Amino acid sequence: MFIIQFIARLIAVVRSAATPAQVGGGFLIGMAIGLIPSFPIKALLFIALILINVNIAAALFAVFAFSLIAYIIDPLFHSIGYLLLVEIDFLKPFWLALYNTPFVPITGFNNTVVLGALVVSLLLLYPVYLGIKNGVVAYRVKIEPVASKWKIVQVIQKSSLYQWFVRLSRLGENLL
Amino acid sequence: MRKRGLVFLLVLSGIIALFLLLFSDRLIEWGMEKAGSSIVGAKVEFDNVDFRLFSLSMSWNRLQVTNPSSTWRNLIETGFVQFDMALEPLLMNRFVVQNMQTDSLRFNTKRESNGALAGNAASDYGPVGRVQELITEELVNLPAYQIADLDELKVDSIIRILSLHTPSVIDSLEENVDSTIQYWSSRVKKLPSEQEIKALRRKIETIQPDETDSPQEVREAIAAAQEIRNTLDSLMNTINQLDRQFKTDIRKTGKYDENVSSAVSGDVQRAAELADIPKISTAEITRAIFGPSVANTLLGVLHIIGTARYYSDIMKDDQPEKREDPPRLSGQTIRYRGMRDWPKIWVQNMSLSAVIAGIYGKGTLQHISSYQALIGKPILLELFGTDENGGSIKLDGIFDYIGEIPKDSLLVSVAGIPLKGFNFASSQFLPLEIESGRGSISGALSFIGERFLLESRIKGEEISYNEQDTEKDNDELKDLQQRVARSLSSFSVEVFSKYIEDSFSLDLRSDIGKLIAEATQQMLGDQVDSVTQEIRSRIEKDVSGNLKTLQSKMSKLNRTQETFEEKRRRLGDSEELVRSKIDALKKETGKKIFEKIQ
Repeated sequence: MFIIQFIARLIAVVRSAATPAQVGGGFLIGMAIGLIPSFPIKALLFIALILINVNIAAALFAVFAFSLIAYIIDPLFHSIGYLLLVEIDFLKPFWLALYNTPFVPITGFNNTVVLGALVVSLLLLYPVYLGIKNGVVAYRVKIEPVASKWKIVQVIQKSSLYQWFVRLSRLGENLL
Repeated sequence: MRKRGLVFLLVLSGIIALFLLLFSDRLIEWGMEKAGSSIVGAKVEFDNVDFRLFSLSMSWNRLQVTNPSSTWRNLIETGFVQFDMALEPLLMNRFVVQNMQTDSLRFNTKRESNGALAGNAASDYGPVGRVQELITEELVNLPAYQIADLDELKVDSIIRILSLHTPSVIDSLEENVDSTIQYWSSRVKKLPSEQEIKALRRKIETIQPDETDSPQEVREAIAAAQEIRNTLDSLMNTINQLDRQFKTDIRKTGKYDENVSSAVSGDVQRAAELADIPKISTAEITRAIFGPSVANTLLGVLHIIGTARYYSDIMKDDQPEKREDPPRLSGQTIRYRGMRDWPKIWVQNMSLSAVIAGIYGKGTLQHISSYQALIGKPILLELFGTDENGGSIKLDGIFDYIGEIPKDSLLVSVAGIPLKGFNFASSQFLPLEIESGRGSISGALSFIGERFLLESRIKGEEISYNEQDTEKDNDELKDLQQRVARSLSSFSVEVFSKYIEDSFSLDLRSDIGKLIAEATQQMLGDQVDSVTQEIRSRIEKDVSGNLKTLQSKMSKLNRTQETFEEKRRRLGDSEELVRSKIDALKKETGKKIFEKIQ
């Protein structure tokens, strides 16, 4: 059931009318929302998602997928965050300056998991964007004409879950 | 840029703002209650929290902090409290309050509901937690005095439940006596037998100095006697050594009656403890009267110190050790020092007023902060007040966590407090309500690192009791104790407690305790003695069989010793005889030589 849900969402995203760049952009914001466990940062990214013309379905898919990934690789974020915040001495003045800058401490950047996730998100920005953009193009050009004839894809497209996700995505796009 | 997105955000912001306008106070109240409760380990409740976003001010009508050691009472209760938060630190997620106004701060007030919470209290921390544990143990082990219980005491049941140690002590003594008997019997057997001693004696008796005619015969007789004497000397040396050893063994085993008596006393004591038979002494009675209130007050104060120490400790690390396994997605928050550095929480000055022991006092609590080392100032408490009847209160406290070693000190001085309505002590002894009188309390508490010291003196004068409070409940002891208390117009209690190098003591001294102890001894002493004697007799009866066996074995050992002594005596006599023969032979030789010369 979980796999079908996942595939249905993925197909709905890549088959949407959005451009590959919008899908990539939405995916990036969703990825950051999913990975970074800081409410103020999530809120800022949510505002960006609504204001910037990116694909919301891709963002929702990424939030779902990367929330799970974040939970799994949380110890890695903690280690990266601790390394940057505590063990690398020359960065300390920078963190101190940030710590004394209005509003910034509210983001919780001085939490090991928040900083670790933020850094990982930043590192993944460009490769993920490129990967998603090229992937969507490749899917639409090469795979979609063939895949649409596959029985499994037809079954998924007819599933109520898929239809619900498409309707939700359209609702989001129409609202904004 | 999505225009509709902007509209959506504006609408959403409006809804959120409206929601916050309507529910922010409730949300903040809920958040503060939740955070406070988790810190204290018992319910923390705010009434009517009012938060004003634009002026950054907050107020509440009432705050109740439950005493986690006694969850039907509040550790602290405030009236109306108001304060403004500084904007700049707030933008940096730090709460700095310059002035906080608190009305009618009260301590140890009654709660309308139980403030208990499931979970642990943060104050069960380090040495403070250890002292709290030890005080709680003292509370649990308070003596109980019930005449009815003594009357109904079933000695048989107590002895049945109690596993007596005396029989095993006697068994062990028996084994010891058995092995001693075995050893000495074999040693005595190795000594010359009766026949051998007789043969030796006969041999000695055959030497007749008068019948020797020639010097040659005399020489031969002397040589024979000397040989016998050497044999006997060697035997006697061995026997004397054995004798010393034997006497030591006998001495050891001979102490069996002391061992049995001490084992019986041990069993009697354990039976008395099992039956809750109280020790009637001034110290025990004073503990029973004043122990609960003193211990509960002390636990409350220690809880505050423990909580303060705990949070000061976990918040002061600016470069902490890496936590290896923090909860998922929680991570570890790192704090930095420098520049415009405020601690996470800092209440610079709290003006407070409080009613302590019926006297209104005003004062300040300064520098309540989450990180004292950062601001370089300890928490300072000052409270002072007087009333028109000459009563006064003075409270000074320093809670210093700046350095490595935490230092807490508290000085209390309350004089001329009205005692009307004061319930003497929450013990079984004196459920007396004081009608009139005045009291004073002075105390000094110091907790430096792991060293805890407390000295306190409580005095009551010109006391009279509420006569209607007298309850005739057929409890003779209670009636007697109440009569004793009523006969006093003053009392004093002294409390001394310390915890130094893992050694704890809590001593209470009181004149009222002394008088009640004497009265209780008069009434209860005979009964306690008779029950204790009954237990002793019963234990002695139970072990009488074992004791008889032990005594018969001891008699056997004594007989072995007698046999040994007899042989020693006989051999000693023989040695004496041979020595006299040798002397006679020598004399005879001299005589013979003299005769020849003539």
